[in-house]
Formats: sequence, structure tokens, C-alpha cells
Amino acid sequence: MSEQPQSVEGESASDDSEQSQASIQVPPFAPSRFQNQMGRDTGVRWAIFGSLVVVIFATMFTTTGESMAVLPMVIVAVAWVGIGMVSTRVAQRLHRVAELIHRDPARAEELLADLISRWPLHRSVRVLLYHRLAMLRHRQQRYAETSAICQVLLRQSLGMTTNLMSAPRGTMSAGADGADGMHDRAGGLRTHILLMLAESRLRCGDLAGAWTALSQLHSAPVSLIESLQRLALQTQYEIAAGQYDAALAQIEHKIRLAELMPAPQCGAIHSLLADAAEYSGRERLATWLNARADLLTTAEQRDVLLGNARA
Amino acid sequence: MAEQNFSPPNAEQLREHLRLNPPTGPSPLAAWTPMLLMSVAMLIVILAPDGAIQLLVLPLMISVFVYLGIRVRMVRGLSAKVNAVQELAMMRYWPQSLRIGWQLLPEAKVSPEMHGRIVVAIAHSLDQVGAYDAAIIAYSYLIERMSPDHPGSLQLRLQRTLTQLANDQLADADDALRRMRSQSEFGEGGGPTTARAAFRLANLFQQVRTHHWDDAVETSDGMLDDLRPLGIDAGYGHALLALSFHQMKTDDEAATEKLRRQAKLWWSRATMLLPVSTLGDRLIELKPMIEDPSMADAVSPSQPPQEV
Repeated sequence: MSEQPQSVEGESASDDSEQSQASIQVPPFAPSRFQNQMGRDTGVRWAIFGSLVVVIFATMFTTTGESMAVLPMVIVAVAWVGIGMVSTRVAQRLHRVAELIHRDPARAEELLADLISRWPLHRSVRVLLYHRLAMLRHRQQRYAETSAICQVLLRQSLGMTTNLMSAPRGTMSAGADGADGMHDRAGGLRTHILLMLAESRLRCGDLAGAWTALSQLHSAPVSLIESLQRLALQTQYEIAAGQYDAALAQIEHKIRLAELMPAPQCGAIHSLLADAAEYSGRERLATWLNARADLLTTAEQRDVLLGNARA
Repeated sequence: MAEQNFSPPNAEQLREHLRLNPPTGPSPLAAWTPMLLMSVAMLIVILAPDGAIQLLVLPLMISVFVYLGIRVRMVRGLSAKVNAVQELAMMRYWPQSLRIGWQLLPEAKVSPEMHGRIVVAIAHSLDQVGAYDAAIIAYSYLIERMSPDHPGSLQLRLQRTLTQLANDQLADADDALRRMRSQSEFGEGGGPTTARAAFRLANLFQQVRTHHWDDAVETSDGMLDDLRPLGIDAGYGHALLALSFHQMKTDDEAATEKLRRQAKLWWSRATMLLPVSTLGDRLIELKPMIEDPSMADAVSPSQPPQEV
């Protein structure tokens, strides 16, 4: 089964020009719609499960022929398998969505619109679909919507849902090109959502929201890649909040970690730390950091990566 | 302590280790066991609806779930270990990454994807500890089993070429570079990418290895931009270019001075990204420049300066 995805003709995207003009789009995120979809999925599952229990009890206490007793059980079992098949088909296309988010966001949007409209889905599949939607919005720099999706997802139980994909690229939290497989553990999905949330709040200028996400990240188990992404966001937060001394604390360690990032992110961190050093009057350090940033990135790359994050 | 006595495997040992531990995928028995148990349970339900044999259904179903749970746990455990090997390599703990990766390879046979990730870590670690023959074996092993269109294939071929150059296999490296040069990725136009940067580094390394200093100097335009995607490893390229300027000979005093200034500029860039000791360990060609006292004042700090 599927709902009708929105066809947006001639409507320009709010803050991104990458989307095609006449494509099928996922409607703007609304928590109530997400809750309704989850409720409907759960309702169908429980209804079938309840039917199964009723059928089992009915066969135990009725005296009809054996063949007649098996028939309702078969129908219920087929319905159960049917739900599983819808979820399996959607889950199989999640990797494709992840690839398209990086290569062709407009096509990813179309595919997501189609997949999200399907029902009933298993809870974990629905959660992963919305996680991909958050990634897409993040890629499209629609940070307010990314943040709203992440906040709703974090209220869900993510214990059994693993994230079989890499972090979004082209952003400061994305020092993870080639990180496929680094997130395929329980807890990886939650960490990834928190990283997107922290960056989105920073980009929206909501320092309190960013701090909340960062503090949760500090208590979450993180891989090396994720710890690098956290360092990048933490540094941005500290500089945006004017905490220059905190940003420069353990500078040798931070530089060593930054050196593990891809060149653009590494250069951007150097540039941010150089700003902090200038603000705190450490001229020699600022000069050294700026010189290194110039060797690692171009000014254009830094502008793209840091956006409004610079003090 | 164990790392102090570390000696990397040689090419033969690696070849044998890879031969004994090929990626096999999960065994058919392991893959079909749950289906088999479920089928047995179904058959019992259908064929023997009454009787004591029905009591077997519940234990059978429980064993399927327990078995699947154990398998998921094992795969997650293996995945965590493979991630650890990759993380050690990323953090430049090459001997540790190599040692654990070597030990983990037999266990990772059941997953071709994880097996491949371990061999990549082993190849990279061998390369970094200077076991070039073995590293070339590992890179070749991966390249032969990878589709040429795979995005990682080009990167691995470039890595192997760089290792061949370091290992004095100049003819092999020249052949590989010539074949790669014809590929569209390295044509004119398009911005710098990691692959393009590695290709330029390989070309530069080849020019230095063959003492074509003038070629290296002539092609130095745009080198700073082109090498940027390599991150701090761009320092190796800067150092090779500094060496090229340093080794150029001319009778003209003004031209010599200009070359000297360029050598110092590139050396200062190189040492700002990587310490002199690291550069010297990896590129023995740099020895004359490292030992030249007139270049000492061009060395930049590769660590943040301490404020007084």
C-alpha cells in the first residue's frame, strides 16, 4: 500500500537550488505525520498479531474440520509475511537512497517520497527512512527541517536499529569520506543523528540546542570517525559561543586528531582554531594555524565548510 | 614491548597467509541451518499434528532464534574488530594495525567485505613500515579482485605505484603511470581530487627517483593546489619539490639564488605539515637536503608553537 507523495511543480525549494522543479517531493516534515505513520504501522502489526492469537484460540476451542481450522491461520500468516515483504523491499533500497543523497539529491528525494508513502512498515525501517530524509535535508542545507527530524527520531527507541551507511559528506561533521561500515553497530545510528542535530542547530544559530546535542554525544559511544566529527562541531560551538580558551585547550591533541580528517575539514579546523587564537591574543599560534590552513585548504573550501560558523 | 621486536612479514609470508585465508563467505551449512530447522518444525506441525513429537517444535524454534542471535553477535564482534584495525591504521599505529589485522584475517574469511577491509589495512601498514615487497603483494591481491570501475581501484593502483617507486621498481611504476595517464580522471579540467593529487605525487616521485630535477621544477606550477587533497601527506610532495629545486644546477648566480629560495619555500611548507624526521624516514632521497646546513633555517615547526 502507498500514500500519494506530493508532486511539486514549479515550486522552488526554500533554501536550495539542487532540487528539480517538477519532481516528486517529500512534503515538509511534520512530527504529527510521522507519528501517524508509526501509529498506523504499529496498528496493522498488532491487528495481525491479535488475529493470529484469536485464530489459535479459536482452533483450540472449536470442533470444525482440520482443513477449515488451518485456513484462517494461513491467511494471517500470509498477511504477516506480506508486511515483512513490504519492509524488506523498502529496506533493500535504503543503500540506494544513501548513494543518491551524495550524487543526485533530487533523485534521492523522489525515491524517498515513494518509499515513505508505503505502509505498513516495520518500525526500524520507518525510522531508517526518516533518518535518510534527515541526511537529505542536511545535504540540502535545510537545517531547520533536519533538526526537527533528528529531534523526533531521538525520541524513538533506536537500540536495535543500526545505521548501515556513512556520514553525510561536504560538511564539517563529514570528515568521513570512505567511512562506510564504520557506523554498522548498535548506537551508531543515534550518534549519527546527534551529529547531524548538533551541526543543524549550530547552522541555525541555536547554541543551546547545539550544546545539548554535543553533551549527549560526549556520553555516547563513538568511533574514531565520529570522534573527529564531534571535535569539529565542538570547536565550532566553542568559537561561536566565544569560549576561545576552551577551543584552544589541548591544542596539540586537537591538531593531531584534525590531521586524521580529510584535507578540507582539517584545514577548516585549523582556520577555526586560528580565529580562536587571534581572539585570545596568541598571535604566533594564530599565524602558524593560518599558514597550515592555507596549505591544507583554499579560502573557498573553508567558506563552504564553515558557513556561518565563524565568529 | 611486543612492538619493539616487531618485524613485518615478507612477501612470501604474506602471499602464503592470503592463500590460506581467502574470502569464502559464510559456509552453506551456516546459512541454511535456520531454514533447515524451520522446515523440520513445519514438517512436524503438518505431518504429526498429534503426539509427543509435537513437543520438539518449541525447542526447535528456540534453537533457531538462539542460533540467529549468536550469529548476529559474532558478526557484530568481528565488525568491531575490523573497525579497530582500520582505526589503528588511521591513527598511524602501523605495526599494531598490521599485527591485529594479520591475526584477524582467518576469522574474517566468512565476510568478503570485512576480509577486503583488513587486507587494505595490512597493505597500507606494510607500506608505511617500509615492507614494500609485501605491500605490493597486498595491493595487487586487492586490485586483481576488484572491478576496475570500483572507486577504490584507482586509489589502490596509485598506492601500489607509489610503493613500486619507493621499492625501486621503476619500470613497473612507469608502466602503471603511463596507463593511468590515459584515463579521463587525470585529463585536463576538473578540480583537484585525492586521486589526482596522488597521481601528481607519483609523477613527482618518479621524476625525483630518475633524477629528472628539471622536469619536476618545470611541472611545479599549480602543485600547491593539486597536492592539497592529500592533507598533511602533501608534505611529501612539497619535500620532493624542494629537493628538485635544491638539486638543480646552474652557472648563473642569480638563477641559483632563485632556485635556492624556491627550495627553501617548498621545504618550509613540507616541514610545516610533517616533521623532518618523518620526511627523512619515508624518503631517503631527502638526505642531502636534510644534511645541508643552509636549509636548516627553512625548517618550519610542524607542531603548534608554545606561547611564552
